[in-house]
Amino acid sequence: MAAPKKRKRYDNIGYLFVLPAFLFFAAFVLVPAVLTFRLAFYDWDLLSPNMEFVGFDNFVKLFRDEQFTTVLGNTAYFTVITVLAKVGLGVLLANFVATRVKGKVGQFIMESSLFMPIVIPMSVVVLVFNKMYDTEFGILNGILRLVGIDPVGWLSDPDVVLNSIIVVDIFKGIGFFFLISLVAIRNVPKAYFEAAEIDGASKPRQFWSITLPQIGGTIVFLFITAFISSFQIFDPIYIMINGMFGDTKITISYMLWQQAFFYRDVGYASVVSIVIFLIVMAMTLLQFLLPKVLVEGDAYEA
Amino acid sequence: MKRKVLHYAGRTVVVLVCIVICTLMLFPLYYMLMSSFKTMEEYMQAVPTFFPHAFSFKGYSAIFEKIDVFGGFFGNSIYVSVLVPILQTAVCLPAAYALARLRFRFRNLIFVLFLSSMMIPGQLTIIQNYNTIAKLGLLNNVNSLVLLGIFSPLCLYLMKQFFSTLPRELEEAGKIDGCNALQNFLYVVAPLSAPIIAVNLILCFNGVWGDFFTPMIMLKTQRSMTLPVGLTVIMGALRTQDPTVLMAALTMTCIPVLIVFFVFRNKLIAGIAVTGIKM
Repeated sequence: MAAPKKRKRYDNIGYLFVLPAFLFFAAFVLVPAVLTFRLAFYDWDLLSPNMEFVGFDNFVKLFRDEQFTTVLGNTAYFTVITVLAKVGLGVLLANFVATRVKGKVGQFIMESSLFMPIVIPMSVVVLVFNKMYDTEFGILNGILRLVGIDPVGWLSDPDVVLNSIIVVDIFKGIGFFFLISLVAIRNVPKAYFEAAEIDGASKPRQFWSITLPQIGGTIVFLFITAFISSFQIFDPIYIMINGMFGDTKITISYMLWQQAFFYRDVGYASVVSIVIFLIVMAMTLLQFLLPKVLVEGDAYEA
Repeated sequence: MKRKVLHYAGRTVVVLVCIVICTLMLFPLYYMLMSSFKTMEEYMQAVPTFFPHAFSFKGYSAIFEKIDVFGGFFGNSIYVSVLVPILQTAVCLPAAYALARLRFRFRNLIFVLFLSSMMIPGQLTIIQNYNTIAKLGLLNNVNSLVLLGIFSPLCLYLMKQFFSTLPRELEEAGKIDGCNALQNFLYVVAPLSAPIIAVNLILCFNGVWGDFFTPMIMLKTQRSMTLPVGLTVIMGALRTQDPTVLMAALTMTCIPVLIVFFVFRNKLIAGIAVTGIKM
C-alpha cells in the first residue's frame, strides 16, 4: 500500500490469530449494538413479533422528557464525585503509602485493607451496606442513636440516597486506583527523588514536580476507566433501591434498564443507550486528548 | 532534641492516618463477619454491639441444613469463574499478540473497534444478547455466562500493552531459527507471557465471581443462579427472616476470592508493574 517498490510484508496469519476473538466480539458486542441502535427508530415491547417504525419519535420523546434532565443531573453529580474521589484519593493514598509508611508489615496492612473491597463481589458489598444503612436495625443509625442524633433515612430519603450509593461505590472502587497508582509510583526511578532530596525539595514539592508528571499516563488511564464505570453505574442502584422510589429515575443506566425491562419500551431505551454511548465516547476522547495538548514532556508516553 | 520530637510527632500522625484508613476500609467486612455470628435478637437490638455477646452459629447452620441451595449457587459460580478466565485467555492472547506485533490490513481498525466496545454499556447489548441466548436455548443455564464472558476489551488491551513491551529481538531470533509467526507465538512469546496471563486469570476470575448484571438477566431459576444473584434471593430461598443467615452467606461468598487474592497478591502486583498500565 505504501511505497510502490518496497513491497510491505504482511503477516496474514494475523487474521487467524484475531479470528476467534473477533467472532465473539461480533456476535455479542458489535451486532447487538448495531441492532439496538436500529431499534431506536421502532416501537417495540420486547415480546411481540411485530415492531412499528416510528422514525425519530423516540428521540423527540427523550428531549421532551423532563425527568431525563433530572437523571442527567444525578448521573453527572454521581460521576464527578466518584471519579474525583477514586482517582484523587487513590493517587494521594498511594503516594502516602509509598513515601510515608515504612516497613514491610505496615505497607502490607495498608495495601491489603485498601485492596480487599476490590476482590469482594459488588453484590456482597452492597448487601452489607444495605444492612448497615437500615433505618431501624442498621449500625449507622445505631451509632447515631448512641450519640443522640436523629436517625437518617440513608436509603429511604430521596435527598440522601444518592450520597449513600456514592459512599458504596468509592469504598468498593478505590482499591483499584490505589493499587495501580502505587505500582506506578514505585516504578519512578529512585534517583529522581534522591536528586530532589539533595536540592532540598520538600515531600509535597517532590510529589507535585516528580511523581505526578512521571505517572501522568497512568492517571489518564485511571480517569478514563473511572469515568466509564461511574457513568454507567448500575448494580448498587439496582440492588439497593429497586422499585423503592416508584418512577424516580436515579441514574442514566438505571433509567435504561427500567425503560427496557420494566416498561418494555425498547425503542425509548435504545435512544437512552445511544445517549450514554455518545457521552462516554466524547468524554473518553476528551480525557485522552486533553493531556496530550496540555503536557508536552517526554515523561508522557502514549 | 526538637528535631527528634518533630520526627516522632510525624510518625504518630502517619500511624493515626493509617489506623483511620484501615478502620474505614475494614469496618464493613468486620461488621459482616461479626453479624454472621450474632443471634437474631442481638442483631435486632436498638443499641448496637461491636462484638457478639455469645457466638451463635445459627446463621451458618441454617445454610448447611439446606446446603443444596447455597451449594448450588456456589457450584455455578465456581464453574463459570474457572472456565471463563481460561477460555478468555486462550481467545484473547493470540489476538492481542497479533494486534501488537503482526502486520496485516485493518489491524488498527480492528483494535479500535475492540477498544471502543469498552464504551458500549452492558445494558445496551443485553437486550439483543438475551434474544441470542434464548435462541441458543441457554437461558437459565450458566453456559450463557461463559459465552458472553469470553470476549473482553480490557483483557485485550492489557495483553497488547504487555506484548508491545517485549523486545523485538526475541521474534527475530526465533525467525533465524526457522520459526514462522505461529511457532514464534507458541514457543517464544507465549511462555514469556506468564505474568500477564496470571494477571488476567486473577482479574477475570474476580470479575466473573462478582458479576451481577448478566446473571440477573440470564438466570431466572434458582437452580441456575450464581452467587451474586443468588444472594439477593437467599433469604426467600431458605424461607428465613433471619438477617444473620444472609451475613453468614455473604461471608462464605468472600472466602474463595480472599484466598485467591492473598495467594496471588504478589503475582498480581508484579504483573501490573510489568504491564505498565497507562494510556
